[in-house]
Amino acid sequence: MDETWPTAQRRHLPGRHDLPIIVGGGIVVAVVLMAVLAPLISPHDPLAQVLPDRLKPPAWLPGGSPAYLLGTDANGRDILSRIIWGSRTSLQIGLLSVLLGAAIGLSSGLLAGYRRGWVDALIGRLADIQQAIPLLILALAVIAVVGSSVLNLVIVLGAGSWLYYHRVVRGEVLAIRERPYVEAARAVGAGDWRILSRHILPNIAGSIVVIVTLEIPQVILFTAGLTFLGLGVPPPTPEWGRLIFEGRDYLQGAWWLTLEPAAFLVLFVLGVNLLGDALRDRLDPVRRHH
Amino acid sequence: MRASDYAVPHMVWFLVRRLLANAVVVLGVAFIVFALVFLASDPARALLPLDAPPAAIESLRRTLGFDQPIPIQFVGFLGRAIQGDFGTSTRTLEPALGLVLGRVPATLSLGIAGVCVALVIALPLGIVAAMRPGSWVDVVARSVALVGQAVPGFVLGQVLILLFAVTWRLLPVSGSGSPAYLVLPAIVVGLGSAAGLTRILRSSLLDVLGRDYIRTARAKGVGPRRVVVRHALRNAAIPFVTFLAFDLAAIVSGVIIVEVVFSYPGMGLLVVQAVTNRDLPVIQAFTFVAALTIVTVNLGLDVVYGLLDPRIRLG
Repeated sequence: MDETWPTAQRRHLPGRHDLPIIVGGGIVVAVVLMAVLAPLISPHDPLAQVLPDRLKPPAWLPGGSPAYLLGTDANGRDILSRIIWGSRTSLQIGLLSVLLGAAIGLSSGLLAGYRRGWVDALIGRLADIQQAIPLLILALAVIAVVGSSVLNLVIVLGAGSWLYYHRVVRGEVLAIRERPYVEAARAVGAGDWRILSRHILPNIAGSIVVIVTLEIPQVILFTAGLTFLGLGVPPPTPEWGRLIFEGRDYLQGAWWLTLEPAAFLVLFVLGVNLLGDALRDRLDPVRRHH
Repeated sequence: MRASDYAVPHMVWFLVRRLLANAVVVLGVAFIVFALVFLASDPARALLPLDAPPAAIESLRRTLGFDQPIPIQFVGFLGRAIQGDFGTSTRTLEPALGLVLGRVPATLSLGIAGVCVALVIALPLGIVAAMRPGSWVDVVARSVALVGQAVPGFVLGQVLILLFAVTWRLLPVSGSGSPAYLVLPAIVVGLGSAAGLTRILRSSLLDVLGRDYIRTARAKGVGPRRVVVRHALRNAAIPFVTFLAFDLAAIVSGVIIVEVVFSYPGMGLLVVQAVTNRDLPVIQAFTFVAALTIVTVNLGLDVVYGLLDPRIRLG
């Protein structure tokens, strides 16, 4: 609701309008395929260390070898393979924790918006408490105690990110439950469950899809940040944040260790943001018409 | 609930309501900080250095009352927290809260410098983009916003170190001391929030510029610059300030990561080292201080809104 970037809005000019969806969607599809097909397309074992080939530059630079398209790290591991397998870990964490957060926020939002009263007040207070502790600090504190693993990360990031879904869902439910068609359904004797599943849920599904889309790269960025702080995915599992982190000490001589995985991360986030913004514009009829 | 129709009693009620709500939040945060210990299999173990003798663990277990019911333990924790006692660092054996508060000036100056950088970028870009939607400035603003939201601070920080500190040797790589040490970290913190701020300012200005009173002002012959400065900016300020407040958590998180990238000795570096050392009292003290800061800032903003906008105060 808060944004109105003007775009070529006329129906007979589809080319410009569709560009963000094509570019963003293309990037997202490419990265998802990369993650799914990792075992097939990865040229090397991401964990195999070939010490004589350590710190090889990318193939297009002097000293590079076509066997290692994007070069090798300090342990002689192929960067391209590590980026490909890393996309798998990153996407898994992103998708799973977003689904967990969305499930919690959707349930609490439906409950609070539909029941209102003390249930709404209670969940609202919990939301206020959650909001006072930035997710990064909560994650740092919890991971410090329970230790870091992919599962712990998913639980912390998922449980810590319900707030956004909750707020959006609650707001929409509050508005939708007063609409005439909901009142009509109630008048003819539809139960709470039927009203929620048949009349309210379909109307908020669009918003949920958009938030989930936009949140996945945020979680991936976040995990990468945690890994950078030494608290994310434990070694030797390749993950984009870990790859960026591992290159830190070699930045001056072997910049590709850091900048190549970083480029993949930035490109993916950019792609999802383009796609998510375009989807949001499409799904929001108010903005579609001006 | 309302004592009268005068604004002052409303404001008092509003303040009381907000204070009570925030007290509940602080209590909840305290409980989470307290409960952290119980995520560990042995709380007393988690609070002491790894090489602590069994006798010391047993004695701490009794001192902190881990054998007592949880509500009583929580009351004890609250009592100590109110006196500023979060225990001692398992590393340096200094009081945890003192260690955290000692880093406040460094982190605060980085945060303020970062917000200044963000405003210097977002204000002109957002205003010009809203005045001329579709122009090249608008395109630049949109690109800055898109890319700024996609590049994580730890990547940008490393690239800036590589360029400005290592290759061109213009600025120090890391550490603190002179203002020069603040330049690169502040730029990274600032660029992180500039993207969102530019988007919000542009969209809320565009929204305001379409309103009737702006058309009236224009019809009266007020120039475009004056329309924006005198009429539009004031009304676009509320969403902008709201976003800045909402962004506070993101700024705090950004500062933590930037401090680690630049080895800048603030609270963030302290807490990340504490996490590495499993120094739980320092983590607890830091979490509480950070949450209390955010709650206080939000309360202050609530009051400002209440004064600015009667609809919020009376709602």
